[in-house]
Amino acid sequence: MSRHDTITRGCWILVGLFPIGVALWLMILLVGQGIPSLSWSFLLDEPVHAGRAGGIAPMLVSTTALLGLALLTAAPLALPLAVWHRTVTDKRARNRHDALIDTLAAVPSICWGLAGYVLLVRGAGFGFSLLAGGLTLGAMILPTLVRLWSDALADLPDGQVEAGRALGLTPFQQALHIWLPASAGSLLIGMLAALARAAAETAALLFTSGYASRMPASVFDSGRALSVHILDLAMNVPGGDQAAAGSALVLLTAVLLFAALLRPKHHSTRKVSL
Amino acid sequence: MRRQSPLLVPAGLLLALVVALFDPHALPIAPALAGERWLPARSLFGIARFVSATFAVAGGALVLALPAALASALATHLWPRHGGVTLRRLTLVAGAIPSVVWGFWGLAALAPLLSRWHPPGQGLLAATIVLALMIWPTMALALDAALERIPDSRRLAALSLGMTLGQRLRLVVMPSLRHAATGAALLGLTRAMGETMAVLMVSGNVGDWPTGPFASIRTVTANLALEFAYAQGAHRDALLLSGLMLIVTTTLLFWWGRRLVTNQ
Amino acid sequence: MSGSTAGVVEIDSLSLWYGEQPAFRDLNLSLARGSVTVLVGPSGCGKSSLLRAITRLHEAIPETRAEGTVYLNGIDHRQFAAHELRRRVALIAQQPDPLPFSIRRNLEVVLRVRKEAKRTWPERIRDVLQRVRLWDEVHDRLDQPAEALSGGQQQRLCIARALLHRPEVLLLDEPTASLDPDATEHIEVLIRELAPRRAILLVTHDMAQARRLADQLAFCWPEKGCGRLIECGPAADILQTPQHAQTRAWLAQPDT
Ligand SMILES: Nc1ncnc2c1ncn2[C@@H]1O[C@H](COP(=O)(O)OP(=O)(O)OP(=O)(O)O)[C@@H](O)[C@H]1O
Ligand SMILES: [Mg+2]
Repeated sequence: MSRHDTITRGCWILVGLFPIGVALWLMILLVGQGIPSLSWSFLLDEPVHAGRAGGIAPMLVSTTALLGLALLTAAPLALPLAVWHRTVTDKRARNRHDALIDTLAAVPSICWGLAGYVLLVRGAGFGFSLLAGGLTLGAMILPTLVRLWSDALADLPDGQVEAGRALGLTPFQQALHIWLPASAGSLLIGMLAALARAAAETAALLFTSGYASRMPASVFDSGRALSVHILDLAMNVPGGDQAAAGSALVLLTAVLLFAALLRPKHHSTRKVSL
Repeated sequence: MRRQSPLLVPAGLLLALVVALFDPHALPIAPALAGERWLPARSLFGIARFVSATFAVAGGALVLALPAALASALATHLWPRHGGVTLRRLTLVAGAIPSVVWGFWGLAALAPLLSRWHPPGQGLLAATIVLALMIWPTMALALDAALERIPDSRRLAALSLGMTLGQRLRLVVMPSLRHAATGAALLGLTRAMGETMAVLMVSGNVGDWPTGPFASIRTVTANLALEFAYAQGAHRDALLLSGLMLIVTTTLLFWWGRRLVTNQ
Repeated sequence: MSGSTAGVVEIDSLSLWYGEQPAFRDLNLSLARGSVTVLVGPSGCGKSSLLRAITRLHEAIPETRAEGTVYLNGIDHRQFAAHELRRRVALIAQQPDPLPFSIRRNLEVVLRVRKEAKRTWPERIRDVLQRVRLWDEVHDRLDQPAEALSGGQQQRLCIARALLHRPEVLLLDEPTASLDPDATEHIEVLIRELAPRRAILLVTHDMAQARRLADQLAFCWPEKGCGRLIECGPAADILQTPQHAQTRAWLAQPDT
């Protein structure tokens, strides 16, 4: 490595660290501003004065309920799709599937919100409710979940797929008895990553689960997700910054904990350096 | 056809989406969308300013994010080995930061910074920066994968031709990335155009033409988020129609980008 | 290293490891100007690895380590900037490796690296292509992708590319392995033409070719998966009276 190369390398690494640096700046800022408002009562109390004081308990409950509903919606659809994706030999069908899933994944989230409003809040008569929000969120994360689960199953050695076939099991039996146990870990990670995406979502929830900051009593009640709460505090509540920072810190911590589990798909192994 | 029946699920979902947003009764309003003024109370539904703001802010974000993504993808590969893996994980994590959180950062940190120059600091520039920060990780990961695909033989060829690192990057690596970079850019653009919350929080939302860095702009998505909750009748139809247009545009761009990325 | 008798390249007890696995060990070899050294040996004995180690390409391969020294004109090759060394010692790889550009661009890349004046490029390109006997075949399609050329043409293009640096030393890794007799003939003629002013190290599996080209002959043999240079000397001597049992066996096998 000549000096000339070392300088080039150093420059690119420095420039390349810059955007990561800004992301770290965001995290440090949030920790700095958010820590003071964190306490048990912040997590366990209801908000007071439009959220300026009190806690975020109803939002945590609503968010959890929304995530649970989204998972209940998406998982039963995503799992068979992922299993099918692993077994199907018809390449054209698989490409078509990939294309559809990618297209769905690229739909702007606010459009899911609009569709949820039209079809669920109004069409099905659920009103602003956790149920409408959860279903919308479920549809929105379906492509992500299918992708992540297909990737998880793709790591299974072909031998196992062949073996299952040789035993005369149907794809679904194979999935149940052989693959799911074998790749339970990566399926779980995939699920958490999809949930992280759901928890980060705001736009799709504005018109489906609504703003109500009361503790929801059932899935037919409107419930304010944590992300919506942050938006409201930051935009509409003068003096809400402190609580917004605290809520954002909670959300960020949860989301990043989930996301940090995800392993990058490709790793350089013994490649010649550039 | 049984083998293809699982396709019905995603296809059905896509169909539901379009059916929800497309109301044939709303079609007569469509020409009005081309107008300049958005004054629902006076039945003026022109979204030209919002559309231009969407493109301005997404395009600007792309201009900032692409070099950032390229640099960070290169850093991942140039860093002595284990550092690169860590950097890649950090990139993945940075991509998972929720958009409201970015929006909050924009309000709490970025806008005050910019307001020293031009109060209140919100507007086109702030939205562009926040968006760029949101979309670079995805693009960086796509470029990272493309770098990974450069075969060893090509790397060795460049080395044995006596190129310095700078020359290898300029003459061999960058040309190898051309397709992937275009594709990544289009994917980033798609995401930027569809993004709502972060932009909404820092762009001012008045609805000016995007003529200067501090123009108080409103994007198509922000307009939806701000008004849909109380919209009625024709107002609502116009909003739904703009949502449909958004889906169609982003989908087309996405497809173009996807083809460039996967055809490599 | 006394200047007059020493070769252009002096390899002094060079060893190379891929991870824990040695590829070759304690290798000594001298390449003189104006002479063709032919290196033969069974597959996997570390011939390509040696060529890479001479130009310090192993430094770019993770977990690879070399010991020993290589002198270029009496100077330790680690004292050169790596890119400088690789311009003076050209390696032509076992598999033709044109860059994914047009034929012209493959050559221009090198001229650009050398910062040669742009107006001289067309002439330089024509000269070098004529030199490797490729001009007549490709002069009307210089802008087509180099990867569309046949294997032999690609190999000649890669040689041409390397020659643009006017290297003092040429390291050729089985340049005719995948070529038909005609193309092989082309390359052999070219090697003979290039030899007088350069030091050339040629790896081959083809003993007939070795006999035709070699001034100096070197035999490499794997011992427990690690290559050793078992015999080395003037080609005429070794072909007449091989000292080593394995060399004799190798020479006795019928030519392919
Ligand atoms: N990048 C690498 N990583 C690990 N081991 C390698 C690498 N390259 C080569 N080897 C190993 O080093 C040994 C020597 O390989 P090399 O390619 O130098 O042999 P060779 O003599 O050129 O063989 P051939 O005649 O088939 O070209 C082989 O056992 C090979 O598997
Ligand atoms: Mg070899």
